[in-house]
Amino acid sequence: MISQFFVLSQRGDNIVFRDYRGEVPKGSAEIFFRKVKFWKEDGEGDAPPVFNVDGVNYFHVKVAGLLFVATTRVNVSPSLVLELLQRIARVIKDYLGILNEDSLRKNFVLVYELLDEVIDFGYVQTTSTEVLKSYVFNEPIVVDAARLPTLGPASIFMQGTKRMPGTAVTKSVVANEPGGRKREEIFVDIIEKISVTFSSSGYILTSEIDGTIQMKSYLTGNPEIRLALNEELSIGRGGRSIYDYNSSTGSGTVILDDCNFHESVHLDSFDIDRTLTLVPPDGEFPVMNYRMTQEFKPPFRINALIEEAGALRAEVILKVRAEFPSSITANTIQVQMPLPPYTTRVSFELEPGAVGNTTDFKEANKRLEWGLKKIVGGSEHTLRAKLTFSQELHGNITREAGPVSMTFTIPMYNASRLQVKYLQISKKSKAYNPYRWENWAIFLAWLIDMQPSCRSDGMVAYGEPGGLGLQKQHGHIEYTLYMYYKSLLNVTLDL
Amino acid sequence: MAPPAQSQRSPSPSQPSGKGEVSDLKLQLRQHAGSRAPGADDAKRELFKKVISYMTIGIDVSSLFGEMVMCSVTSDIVLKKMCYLYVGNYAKGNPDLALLTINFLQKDCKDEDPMIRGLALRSLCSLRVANLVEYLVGPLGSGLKDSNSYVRTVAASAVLKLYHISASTCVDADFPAILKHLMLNDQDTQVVANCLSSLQEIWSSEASTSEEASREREALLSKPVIYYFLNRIKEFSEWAQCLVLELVANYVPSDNSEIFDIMNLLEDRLQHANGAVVLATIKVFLQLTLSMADVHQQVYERIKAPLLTLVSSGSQEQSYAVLSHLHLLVMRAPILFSSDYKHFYCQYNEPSYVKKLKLEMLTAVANESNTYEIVTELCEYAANVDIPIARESIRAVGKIALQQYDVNAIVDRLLQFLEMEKDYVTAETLVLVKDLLRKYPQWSHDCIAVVGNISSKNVQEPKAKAALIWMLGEYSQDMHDAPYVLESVVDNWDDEHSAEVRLHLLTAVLKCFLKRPPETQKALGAALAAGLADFHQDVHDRALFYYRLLQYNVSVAERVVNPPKQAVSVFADTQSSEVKDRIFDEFNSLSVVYQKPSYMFTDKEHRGPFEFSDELGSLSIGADSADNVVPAQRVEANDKDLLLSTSEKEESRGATNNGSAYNAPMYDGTSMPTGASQLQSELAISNTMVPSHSPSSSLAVDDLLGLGVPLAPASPPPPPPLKLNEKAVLDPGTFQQKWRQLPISLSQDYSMSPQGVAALTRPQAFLRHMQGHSIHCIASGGQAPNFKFFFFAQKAEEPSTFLVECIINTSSAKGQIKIKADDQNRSLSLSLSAQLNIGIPQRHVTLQPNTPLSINPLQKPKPAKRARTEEIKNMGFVLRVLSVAKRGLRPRLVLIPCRSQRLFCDKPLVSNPLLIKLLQESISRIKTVLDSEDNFTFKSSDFSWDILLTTLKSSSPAKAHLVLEWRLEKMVRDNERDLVPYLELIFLCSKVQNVPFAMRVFNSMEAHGIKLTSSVFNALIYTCLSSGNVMTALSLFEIMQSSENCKPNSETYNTFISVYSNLGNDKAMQAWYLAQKGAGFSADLRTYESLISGCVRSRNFDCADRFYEEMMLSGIMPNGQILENILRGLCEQRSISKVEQLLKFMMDGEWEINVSMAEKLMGLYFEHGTVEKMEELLLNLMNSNQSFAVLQQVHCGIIRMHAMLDRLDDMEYSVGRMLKQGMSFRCPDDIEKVVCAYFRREAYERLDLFLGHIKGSYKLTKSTYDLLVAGYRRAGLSEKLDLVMDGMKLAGFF
Repeated sequence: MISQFFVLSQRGDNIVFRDYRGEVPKGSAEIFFRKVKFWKEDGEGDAPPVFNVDGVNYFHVKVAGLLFVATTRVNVSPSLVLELLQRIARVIKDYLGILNEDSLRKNFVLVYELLDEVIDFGYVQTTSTEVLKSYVFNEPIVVDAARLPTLGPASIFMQGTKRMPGTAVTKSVVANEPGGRKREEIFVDIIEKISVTFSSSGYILTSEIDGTIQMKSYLTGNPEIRLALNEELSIGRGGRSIYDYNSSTGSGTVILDDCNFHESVHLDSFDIDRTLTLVPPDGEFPVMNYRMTQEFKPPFRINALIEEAGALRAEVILKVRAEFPSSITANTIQVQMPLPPYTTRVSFELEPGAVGNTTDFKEANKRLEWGLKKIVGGSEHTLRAKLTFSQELHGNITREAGPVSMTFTIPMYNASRLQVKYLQISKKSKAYNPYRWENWAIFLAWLIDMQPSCRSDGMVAYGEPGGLGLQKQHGHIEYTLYMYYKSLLNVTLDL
Repeated sequence: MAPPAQSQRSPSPSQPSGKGEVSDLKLQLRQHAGSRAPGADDAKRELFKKVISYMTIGIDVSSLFGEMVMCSVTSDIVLKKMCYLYVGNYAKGNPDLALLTINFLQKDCKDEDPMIRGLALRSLCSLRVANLVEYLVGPLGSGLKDSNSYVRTVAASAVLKLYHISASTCVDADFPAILKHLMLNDQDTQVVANCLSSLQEIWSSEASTSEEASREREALLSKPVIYYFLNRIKEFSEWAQCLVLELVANYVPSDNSEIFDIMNLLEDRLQHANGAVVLATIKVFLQLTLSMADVHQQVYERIKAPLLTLVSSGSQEQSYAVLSHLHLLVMRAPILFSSDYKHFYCQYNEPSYVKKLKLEMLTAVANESNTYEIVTELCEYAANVDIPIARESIRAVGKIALQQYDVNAIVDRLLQFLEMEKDYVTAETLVLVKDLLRKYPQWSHDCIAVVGNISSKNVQEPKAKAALIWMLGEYSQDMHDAPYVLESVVDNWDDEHSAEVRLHLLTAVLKCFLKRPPETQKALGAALAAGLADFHQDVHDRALFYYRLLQYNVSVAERVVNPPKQAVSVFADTQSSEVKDRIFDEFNSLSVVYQKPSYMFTDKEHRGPFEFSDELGSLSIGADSADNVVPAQRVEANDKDLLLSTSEKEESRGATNNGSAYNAPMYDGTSMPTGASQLQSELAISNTMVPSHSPSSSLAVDDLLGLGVPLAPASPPPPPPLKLNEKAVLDPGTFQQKWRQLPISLSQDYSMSPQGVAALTRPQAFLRHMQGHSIHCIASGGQAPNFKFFFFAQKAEEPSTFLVECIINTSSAKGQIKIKADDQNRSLSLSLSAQLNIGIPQRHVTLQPNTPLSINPLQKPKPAKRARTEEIKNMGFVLRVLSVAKRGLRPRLVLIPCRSQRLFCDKPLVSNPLLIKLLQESISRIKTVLDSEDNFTFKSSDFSWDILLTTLKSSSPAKAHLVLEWRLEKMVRDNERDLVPYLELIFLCSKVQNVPFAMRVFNSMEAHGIKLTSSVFNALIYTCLSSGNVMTALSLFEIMQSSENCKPNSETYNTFISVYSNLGNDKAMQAWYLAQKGAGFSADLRTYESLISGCVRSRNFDCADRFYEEMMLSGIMPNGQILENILRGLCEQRSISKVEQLLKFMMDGEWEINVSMAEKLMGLYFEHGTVEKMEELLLNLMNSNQSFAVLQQVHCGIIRMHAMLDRLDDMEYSVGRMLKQGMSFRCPDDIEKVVCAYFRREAYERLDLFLGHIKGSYKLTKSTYDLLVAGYRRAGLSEKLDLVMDGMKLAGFF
C-alpha cells in the first residue's frame, strides 16, 4: 500500500505527482530529493532505493534519468513497491513510445490517467498495458525520436542494468502509425550480461551469464504464441556445486542454473519439448529471465598490462581478442578501465591503420574509454595509453587501476547458446470460429544468412520489413518479427 | 491534497508561478464555462491541462475551484477525468465549494457508461470531506451491486475510502458485510482483491473496539477462506497474488499434509518473474515450516536458486530488495550458503549499498573450505577506489579472522595491507590488528614486527592512532623504539584532539614505563603533566589516578595497568537474537531492508500486516479469555509512560531485556519472547499463585474465565461472583481523572511469599496474570525494590469501573493495594480484591485447560491448539477420545520401563540364591523349590519379586509363569482377602508381560469377593498396555467407565498417557490428556513427564513447550527428566537462544545437568561451531558445581571442537585446563580427534608433548595406538613409530 507516487526530473522538479491516501505530509518530494542528492555529496555513494525519513519510507527507481518515487508510512514489501515503480515506468514507456523527461512532460495528463487506474487508494490494481488501454483516452503526443540522445549499450550498462530498452523501437502501443496503418509486429530480443573474471594467467575464476528473453508485442487481438527453445536445455544443476565445471554434460546441452517466467507464460509443454506458450500482453515484457554458470567460451579475451615508466609515468596496454568465428562481427564495442586517481593526463596510441576507433580519458571519474565500431571474429586490437601522474608512485600500481569492462553487441551470437528455435503465432480470425484458426510458423533458422542492417541509433535489428520470408501475407495482416541477440561482457582482470 | 509547494525554487520560464497566470486562467475558464460551441471541448482540454500542470509543479490553483466545477459539465471523458483529478486534489481545502461537485458526480454515478460510473464513484469517495459522507452512501451501495466489474472494483476500494473519512458511516451502512459477501462470491478477481485489502484494513482498525470485527478478521484466516483464495490464486493479478500470499503466510494449517499441499500448490510461484510474488511465496514457505526443522532447511535449499536469479535479473533497485532478503537468510543460516559464496562477489559497477550487503554475506559464509578464496577476493576490494567499501572490505577480512578460520593466512594479508601505504587502509588495518592481538596473542611477534615500522605520523585517524598506541604500550618490550615513539607522541600532546587517543597514550606510556623504566621516565613525566593539565575530564582523572597510583606503590600500579591478559574470545554481537528473529518474522517487508524490526521505524498504526498477524496469533485461540489480552495490552503499550517519570520508565522497560532497544515487543504482549524466557515468566506466575487463598474464590475465577468446563463435584457452592468485563477499555486520561476524583473504597496490606517476590523480577508476567483475570494494567513502573502498578477493571454488565493501585516492596515482601470504584459498594471492592489477590488455588488453575493459553500469548497459534479447543468442547465424550486413541495406535509390542511404579523398589540385582536355584532347576520342579523356600526369604527386605521375575523371564518365560502361578495358588491357599498382594501380583504380571495371567488373578479376586477398585483396573490396564494389548486395555477402560465404584482415576489416564508417550504417538497421548482433563483430573508431574517426553519423542516440540509452560503455570516444578526432554527438544530444534534461556533457568534453579544433557548441548554447539558458548557453559557449570562427568563432557566437547578446526593452541589450552581440574578424556574418540588434528597440522613434537601430558591420567586404547601407528607411518617417522610400538607392547596390545 503506497501513499504517494511521483516522478522527479534530474533537477528535482515534479513532473507527475499523485497523492493516493493523504497520509504523508506535504513536501515529501523536496525531502526525498534533498536526501538523495546529499547522499551522494556525503560520499556515501548512491542513495539506496529504499530509505526512511521521519517515519516516511521513500522508494525510488531510476529510469531514463528520471526518478520514479513512491512513499508510504506502512511496513510494506519493498520488493513489491520497487517492482511496481519499475512496472509503472514500463507501462508509461509502452504508451509514450519513448520514456524521457520531455515525453513525460508533454503527456502528463495521459500519465495521470494511467496512474488513476494503476493504483487506487494505494493498492495496485493492474499494470497490464492492454487492460489499461480501455481506460485511457488521451492520445500520446509522440516525441521525435531522432532528436533524442542515443542510448548506446554502454550508457545502459553503466547504469548497472542489464535490461536494455528492448529494441530500438520507440513506438507507442496506442499510437497509430503515420498513415493510419497498424503494423502487426513482435520483437524478441535475447539479451545477455556476461560477467567473467580472469586471473592474471588467463584462467577463468568466475563466469556467469544473466540473460533475458525480452518481447515487445504490437499484435492486435492478442494471439497465442509458441516460443521454442533449444531442445537440449536443462534447468537446475541438481545437487552439484554451481562451480563444478567438470559436470557439463555433453556439448550440445545448455544448462541453466535457474530461470523464471512472465506470468503470461504457460509451461504446460515446457518440460516435454521446451516450448513456451503465451498470450503476449501489449508492450514490452521479459518472457524469461535466466542465469547460467555453466562453462562457456567468452567471446572476447582482454589483456591489460600496466607498467611503470618513471616516477610520474606509466603505460597501459590493452589487448582485445575476438574469439568467435570470423564470419561474425561484433559491433559498438566499448572498453573501459578506471585509472589511478592521481592520473592527470593520458595520451593514446592506436595501432596503425585502425579505423573507427575512439579513445577518451574521462577526467571526472578517471576512466579510460576505448570505443571500436566493429571487430571481426578472430582479430586482435591493441591500445596503448601513456599516463601522467600528479604524484609519485608508491606501492603497487596495478592495484590502483580498476577492472576492465566492455560492452558490445554481437549479432547472432550468444554466449549461452540459448536459442529461440522458432516462434509460432496462431491468429484468431475476427469473427470467432474455432474451425478457422490459422497457424503461422516463422522459423528462424534462415536468419543466419541475412545481412544485418544498421539503424540510426547504432543498434542492430534483423528482418526489417521487406526482409526475406519473414512476413507472410495473409489478407491484409502482415506480421513482422524482429529478433536479435545482444551481449554485454563485464570482464574483471586480476592484473 | 495539494502537491508540495516548491516556493524555494526560482521559477524557470517553463514554470510560471505568478498570480497573473492563475487569474488569467480563471478568466478563460469563465469564458468557456457554459460554452457548447464546437471545438469548445478542445479549448477546455488545453485549459484544464494547464491547470493540472500548475497543480503538479506546486502552484496553488485552488482559487479556480468554482470555475473548474462550472466547466465540468461535459460529455468529454478526458475533460471529466482531468476535472475529477482537480476536484480530488482541492476538495478537502474547499469543503463548501466541494458541495458543488456532488451534484454532477452523483449524476455521473448513474451514467450509462460503466467507465463513467466507476470514475465518478472513485472521485466522489476521494473528496475526503467529512460533511459530504451522507451523499456517498447511496452511490456506493449501488456501486457494490453494479453489474459491471469495473464499477464493483472501484466501489470495493471506495468503501475503504469512506471508512477513512467516517468509520461509523461505513460500518453503519453495513458495507463490511457486503464486501465480505463480494469477496467470497464475485467472479472478478480484482473485485475480490480489493474487498480483501479493504476488509483487512477496516477490520484491523475496528478490532480494537469491536469484538465482532476481531472475530471477522480472524475468520479471514480460517481454512475455508484461505482455501478459497488459494484455489483461485492463479486467476489473480500478480499484485493481488502478493496480497493473498501475505494472508496465507499467517494461516496456520492443522497438520503437516496441509502444509505440503499448500507448498505444492504454490511451488510454481517461485518461478515468477515478479520478485514480490516470489518473496511473498518464500515467506509462506518459511512460516509454514517453522516447526519442521528439516523441511525448513529444504525450503532454504529450494529458494536459493530463484532468489539468486532475481538478484541478477531486473533493475539494480529490484535486485537490491531481493538481495536484502537473501542477506537475511544468509545471516540466519550461513552454512547453507557456504558453497554459493561466489555469488556474493562484488562487481565493480555495483552501488555501494549492494556491495555492503555482499561483503557482510561473504563474511558470514566464510568457513574452513572457502576462507582462502573469500579473503583473496576481499583483499582485491581493499584497493578499491571507493574508499568506504575498501574500509568495509578490510573490516570484513578482520571479522573473518576473528571467526577463527585459517588465521594464519589472514594475518599475513592484513600485514600486507599495511604495506600499501594508503592512509585509510593503514588506519583500518591497525584497528584490526589490535583486535586480532587481543584474541590471538600468539601472533604478537609477527604483527609487532610490521607495526613497528609504521610511523605514528602517518596515522591520523583517532581510532587507528589509539590502536597503534595501545600496541606500543602493550608490546613495548618487543618494540625496540616504543618509548621513543611514545615520547614523540607525548611531545605533540597539544596537537592531539581526540580524548580517546590521549587516554590510550597515558596508559601506554605507563605500561611502557613499567617495562622499560629508564627509557620511558621522561615521557611518562611529560605525559602525566600534560594529562593533569588536560581540559578533558576523563584524561585529567586518569592522569591523576596514575600519578597517585605510582606515588602509592609501583607494584600496585603494575597490577592495575598490566594485569595478566586473557585472550578475548567473543566480541560483542551488534544485534540481539530477538531482534534478528523479529526481523525474520517480518520477512518480505521493509524491516529486512533496514535490518530493524518494524517498531523501530514505524508508528504503531502503520506497522502493516505484520503487527496484524501477531495480534491474530494470540487472538485465534478462541473467543475465550485470551481475547482480552490484546486490547488491554495495547493500551498499556501506548500509555505506559503516562503516569511514570522517565527513570521509572527506563527501569520497567529494561528489566530483563538485553539492551534498551528491544523492549516494545515485550510490552506488546503480541511479540514472541522466546520459549525459555516465556517459561520463566510463566513460572513466575505460577509462583505468584502459591500463597493460596480461600478456595471459594476459585469458582469466581473459573466463571470469570468463561469456561464451560464442569468442575470437580467436590467443590463448595460458589459465592456470588464478580463478573468483570474481559475487554474493558479505559483511556489513561480518564483513569487519571477518576483516580483524582474517587475516594479510596478499599485499602489492603498483605505480605507476599518469596516466590511472589521473585516473580516480580519480571513484572510482565504479573501483568499478564492479572490480565488473565480481566484486570488490566494501565501503567506500571518502579525501581527495585519498589514497584507500582495501576490496574483497572470493569464490571461485565454495567459500566462500573474499578481502579487499583498496587504498590509492592520486594525487599520487605509487603504489598499494598488501593481500590477505587465508581460503585461505592465496599463489598464489591472486597470481592475484586479477592480476585486481585495473587493467590489463586492451584488446583483449579490446573483444571482449566485454557488458563495457560490465556496468560500466554504464544507467538503463533499452534495447530494443535485449535484442535484442542474444539476437543474440549466435545469433552465428556471420552469414548470419542477412545476412538482417537484407537485410531492412533498401531499394534506394536510395548515395553514400558517400570520407573513410575511405586510399589516396587528398584534395588540393584543382588545375586539372589533363590534365583540361581530357580534358573538351575527344571521347569517341573519350580513350584516345589518355591514351596521349599522359607517364607523368610520372601519377607526379607532385600528380596524383590520384581527382579527375580524379570531376570527369570529373560531366560525362561515358562519358569516366570510358574512362579506367578505359584504365588497365586499360595494366596488362594492362604485365602488372602487383602487387596494389596493381588495388586502386587498383577503388577508382577506386567513385568513379564503376561496378560492372561493377570486376568486370572483378576478372576480369582472376583471369586474371592474382593472389592474391586480403580487401582485394580489400573494395574490391569497397565499390564495390558505394557504387553501391547491395547484392545483389552481399552475395553477395560470402558468397563471402568460404566462401573459404579471403579471410575477411571487420574492414575488410569496417566497410564495411558505414559504408554502412548513411550510409543511416540503424541496424538493419542494428547487425546488421553484431554480426556483426563475432561474427566476432571488435573495433570500431575508424572503426566507432564510422559506428555513432554512423548512430544519430544515424536518431535512435536511446540507441544512439548506448551505442556512445559502449562506445567510451570500450574505450579508443578519440573523434574530432571522433564528438563532433559525439553532440552533435548530445544537442541533438536537448534534454537540456541531458547537453550540458553533454559540453561540459565536450570543454573539459577540449581538443577543438575546430567551427562546426556551435556551431550546434547555439546552436539548443538558443535553444530553451530560456537566455542564461545561451550566455554560459557563450562564456566557456568563449574560455578554451579555440576558433576564431574558433565564437566568432563563439556571439556571434551571443547577440545573436539578445537581439534576439528585444527586450532592446536586453543586445543592444547583446553586440554591443559581439563587435566588441571583432575579430569581426563572420556573416550578414545576424543583423543583420536586430537591426534588427528596434530597429524593434519604435522605438529609431531606437540603431539608428543600432548601424549606425555595425558599419559598419567588416561590409558590409550588399541584404536588410538593404531591411529598413532598409521599417522607416524604415513609421515615416515620411523623413530616415533617404534616408540609407539613399544608403548603398545607395554600396554599389552600385542
